[in-house]
Amino acid sequence: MKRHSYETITGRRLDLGKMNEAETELLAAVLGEYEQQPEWSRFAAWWVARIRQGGLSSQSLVYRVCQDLEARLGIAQGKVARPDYRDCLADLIEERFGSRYRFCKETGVDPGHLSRVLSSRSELSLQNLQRILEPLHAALVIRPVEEVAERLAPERAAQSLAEAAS
Amino acid sequence: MGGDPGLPVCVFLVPLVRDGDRRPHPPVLWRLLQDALIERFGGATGPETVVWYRDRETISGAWSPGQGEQTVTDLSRRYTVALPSDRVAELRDLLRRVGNSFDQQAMYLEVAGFAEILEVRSEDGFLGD
Repeated sequence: MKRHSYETITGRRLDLGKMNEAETELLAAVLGEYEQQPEWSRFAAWWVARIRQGGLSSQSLVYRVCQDLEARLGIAQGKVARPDYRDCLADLIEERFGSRYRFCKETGVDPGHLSRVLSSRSELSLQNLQRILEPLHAALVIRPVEEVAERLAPERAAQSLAEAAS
Repeated sequence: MGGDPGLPVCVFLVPLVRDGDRRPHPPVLWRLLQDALIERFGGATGPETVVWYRDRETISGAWSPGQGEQTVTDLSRRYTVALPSDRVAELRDLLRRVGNSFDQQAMYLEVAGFAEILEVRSEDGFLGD
């Protein structure tokens, strides 16, 4: 597989060039299933079983891609909300710090408050959001709704994965 | 996993909408749930999207797979996991956190065929705590 990155619904780029042979084969099977546009939960059950069969961990690239594909189907089928800043925040924390525990420890952010925010039970003020974004080397950007909708489209993910597999 | 012999089979439901505003959950929560199930229990069988009915006035009191008069029709995700008996408490603990994160007043769990309604309290914490 040629070197190629996959962009998640939160804009995170996953380097598919780092996949091993087993992951590449599994991803091809995942793409075949995904292109049938299965019901959201049916796809979830299917890919989790395949990941388990393949002995891949939750840290593998394919696992992350599958979670993203599942979310796209859920959003398109009206069963999952569109991602907002919380999804981006959770992704950035995982990418830059590995865990929320480490992020909170190193930045002094209250873990309880962060949990409530990520669960949509509390909001961050703009000031606090900007303070949190600083150690994540991230910035707040406002984009047109059409552009966001295009990024979430299931077809876009399929196209991206097909290009990676070609 | 669900097919292991000799282990109590646990089935639980996660409604597709929040109790508070009846809106669907953001992707990050489903991701956190999936990660937690894999990290703690090696995964679960499912999910399946199922229709379930809940009592309209006492959401924490009466869940039923049959249709009643005072019910709310909810789509839920149904998960199945087989666990040693001494780890069922761990699953209950996780589900209470799931309840807080997914804005649920109560969570439905079946252990070896026996139904339980887990009351969710704010002090139970959240997924990823």
